[in-house]
Amino acid sequence: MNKDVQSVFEQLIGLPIEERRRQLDAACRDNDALRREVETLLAAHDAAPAFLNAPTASFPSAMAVESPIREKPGTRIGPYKLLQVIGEGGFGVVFMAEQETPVRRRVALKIIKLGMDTRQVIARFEAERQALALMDHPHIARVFDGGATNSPSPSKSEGGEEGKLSPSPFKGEGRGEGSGGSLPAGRPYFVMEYVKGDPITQFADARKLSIRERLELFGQVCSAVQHAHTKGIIHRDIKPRNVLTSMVDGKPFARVIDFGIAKATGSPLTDKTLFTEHRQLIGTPEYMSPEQAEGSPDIDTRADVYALGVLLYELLTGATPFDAKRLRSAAFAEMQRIIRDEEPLAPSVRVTRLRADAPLSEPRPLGSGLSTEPRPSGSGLPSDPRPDLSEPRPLDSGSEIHDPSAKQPLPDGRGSEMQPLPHGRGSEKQPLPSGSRPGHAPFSVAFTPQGRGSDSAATIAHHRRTDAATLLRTLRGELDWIVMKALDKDRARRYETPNQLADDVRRHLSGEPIIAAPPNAVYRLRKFVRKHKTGVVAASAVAAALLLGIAGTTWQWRAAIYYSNQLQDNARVMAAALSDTLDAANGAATIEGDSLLPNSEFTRFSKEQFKDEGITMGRRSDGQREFWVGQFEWRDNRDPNFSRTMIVYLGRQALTAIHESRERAKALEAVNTQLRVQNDLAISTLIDLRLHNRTVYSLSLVV
Amino acid sequence: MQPGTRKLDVSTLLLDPQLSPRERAECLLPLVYDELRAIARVRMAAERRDHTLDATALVHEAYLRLIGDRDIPWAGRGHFYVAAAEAMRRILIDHARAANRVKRGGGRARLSLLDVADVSELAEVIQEDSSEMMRFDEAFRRLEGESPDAADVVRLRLFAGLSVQLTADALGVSTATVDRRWAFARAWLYRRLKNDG
Repeated sequence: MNKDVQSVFEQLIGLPIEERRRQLDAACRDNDALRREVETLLAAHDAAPAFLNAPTASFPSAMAVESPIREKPGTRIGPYKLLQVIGEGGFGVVFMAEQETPVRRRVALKIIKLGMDTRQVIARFEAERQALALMDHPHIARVFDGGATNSPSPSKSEGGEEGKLSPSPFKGEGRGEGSGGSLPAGRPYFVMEYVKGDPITQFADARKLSIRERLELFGQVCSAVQHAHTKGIIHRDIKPRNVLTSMVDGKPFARVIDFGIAKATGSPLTDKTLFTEHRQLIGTPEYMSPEQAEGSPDIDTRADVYALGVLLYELLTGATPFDAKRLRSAAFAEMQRIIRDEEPLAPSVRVTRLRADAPLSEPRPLGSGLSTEPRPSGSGLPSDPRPDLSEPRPLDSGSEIHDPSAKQPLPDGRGSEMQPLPHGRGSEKQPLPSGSRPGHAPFSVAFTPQGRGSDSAATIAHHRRTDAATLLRTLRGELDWIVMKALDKDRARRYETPNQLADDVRRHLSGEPIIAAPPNAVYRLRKFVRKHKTGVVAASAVAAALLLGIAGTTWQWRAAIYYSNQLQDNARVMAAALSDTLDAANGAATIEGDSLLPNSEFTRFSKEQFKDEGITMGRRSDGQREFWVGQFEWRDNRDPNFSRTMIVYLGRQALTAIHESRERAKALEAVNTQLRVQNDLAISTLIDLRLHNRTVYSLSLVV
Repeated sequence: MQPGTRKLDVSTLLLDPQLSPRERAECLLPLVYDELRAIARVRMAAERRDHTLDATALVHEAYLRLIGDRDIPWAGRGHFYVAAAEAMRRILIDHARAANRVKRGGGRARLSLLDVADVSELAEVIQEDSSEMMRFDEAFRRLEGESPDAADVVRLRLFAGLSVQLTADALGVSTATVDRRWAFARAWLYRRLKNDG
């Protein structure tokens, strides 16, 4: 019966009033209930023209994502004739195109496929155009032009409502149509210098560039970004796919592409009505600075410095600071949290964590590697290695590496995976974590699992023409510090400019002292203590209690034997690191005339100990210190229980040590030669405890 | 949760020919719901208090996070939107329950349920008086009892913000049918809300 109500209603609703009445009479001759139902519904329908009449009003053209790009090779857009597709992704399609007037040249033409407000994109692009035109740098690919295609907007062809590209929340579908007419007809497109080359990280691996060569290449990127900054342009989407590299005159030559595009296609977050406001937040998360991840509208040149830091990290270690896979599978809020809060491992620590058992694998040959990828959304646009194209610029001397079909030896035989274009979602096999997600528009997110992280340290080292141990030594210390400074969560603590970063890299290469320093111990301790206030206080109390007990048995445990060299070393290094930290904290406090750490009896006692034993506390090697502090923080970030466990562990370790000491002292009193070792244990235990104790004092300083 | 697997799950689910639409919806719903809620939470926290939930934007964002630019035929995407629409409806209900805000005293609301034109206005009404969501939901469920077809159209058009065309694609019917069902559902809901209030 209700079905009848509905069907009668639906039958009548499209009809003129008189016609309705007649049909209603016909439909429910003697069924008064049905008639009443239908009549009240019709009345409701007529009475409420506004009710739920614009359910998609706030949905500007988002569905354009779904529709294919209609432009094909041969299509003419303005003065450009499309030649062939050289890249494609969720974000858009990149064509190689030929410009005929005013000059004849090859260009890369990127058509934005996402449902963006064409008018706004173009307006933003126009606003930046003057500045873009002023950029003139050998390592920057120029952006020539931007506009709207003539093809009808896909959204319009899908039905009236989608035609509403405008962000303003129209009420009433009719009005949407009206304003749709005033919008540019097509999609936004950008015309850029056509650049051949491969993503920088891929290039560096395929060419097996050494660390030094990589650093020199990285310097080119910094100088390009610096140049743009001085012209007032922030890139906002620096990543390997936007840094195309090829051999020029026998030397690696990097060019940064897509300047100005991210800004034009991203939308200001202040514009609440824009759907893209939401997408803005998701870019290329691995390269996104914390402030970008937060969705802050206040993005400055230091966001680029951060991305450069990520790029350098990847060039050095073969991995991004945060695992791409993890970031992409994380829910949105989790992803933001990781970028904002988690301290990445220092590069040297990162390479030690790589799988040791992975087989040595050859880097994927450049040409084939690229073509198995889904053309990443235009971000890697002019990277097309197609062989049959004439060289657009004499610069491209490295054509042999672009030619996948040419007799390039493919060590692993993967050349056969080469596919013409995108649908091959082959990137799962792709060793590069970079850029598989198109960056400008968050919407182009390609959730591509990354395989890079599974490379073994040996493979990573092999790609850098070195061995794992040497690589570790090379990275440890200065390079760690440089990278970590660029990656600081707080942009005020990063390098201020790409140049500063490049200068520090150069200074490192030439053996001069660098600006970057090991992460400030006081700062890090402060963060730690703040985070674990209760735990630290508790641990310190335990430590204090233990100390009282220890005092009585000092002579005894001095004679004890340490049961594990490993444990001993760990304890010492950690103790040293913490000791440094506390010394620094203490020093700072003293300078402020606020010394809360009196030179207690206990402190003097331990100093005596160190002197006797020739141990200079706080003078551990930077590498060891870094390693342990890094370990500590790494664990702390991942495991909320870690610090609690750690504190308990330290306490237990002290007890075990004392206990064991007593046991063994009885048995081994005579073993004089081992006294030194025993003493070390005692000292490290003591130091641990001392440190915890001092932390209590520090608390009052920092909290 | 295994990193990386969830993404895979969604597209696999959508593409698996073995699954009936019902099974598919059952598997999809929790995934989509979780994702939507995570995104919504960030939005709500980040925005000002008077923020109105842009449900359609959220649905779409969830779509991209869960599916990305994978090539999923429309039939499959339709299933996604059906699940997302249902998830969004539940989120609004959760939201209303949590808010538990009932307008007191004489001040007239800026909007009543009967003035609501789209889901963000619906959210606005709920913001002021969360009991309104219950009222709306009650009406919606009654409509579902009367005509599941019409309720489906409401789900997709209102809660997932799909156009007539896409709703038709998702349900596998003509646009004219969607138009008619939509008109029916609007009239039905309006009558119900007017009479019970």
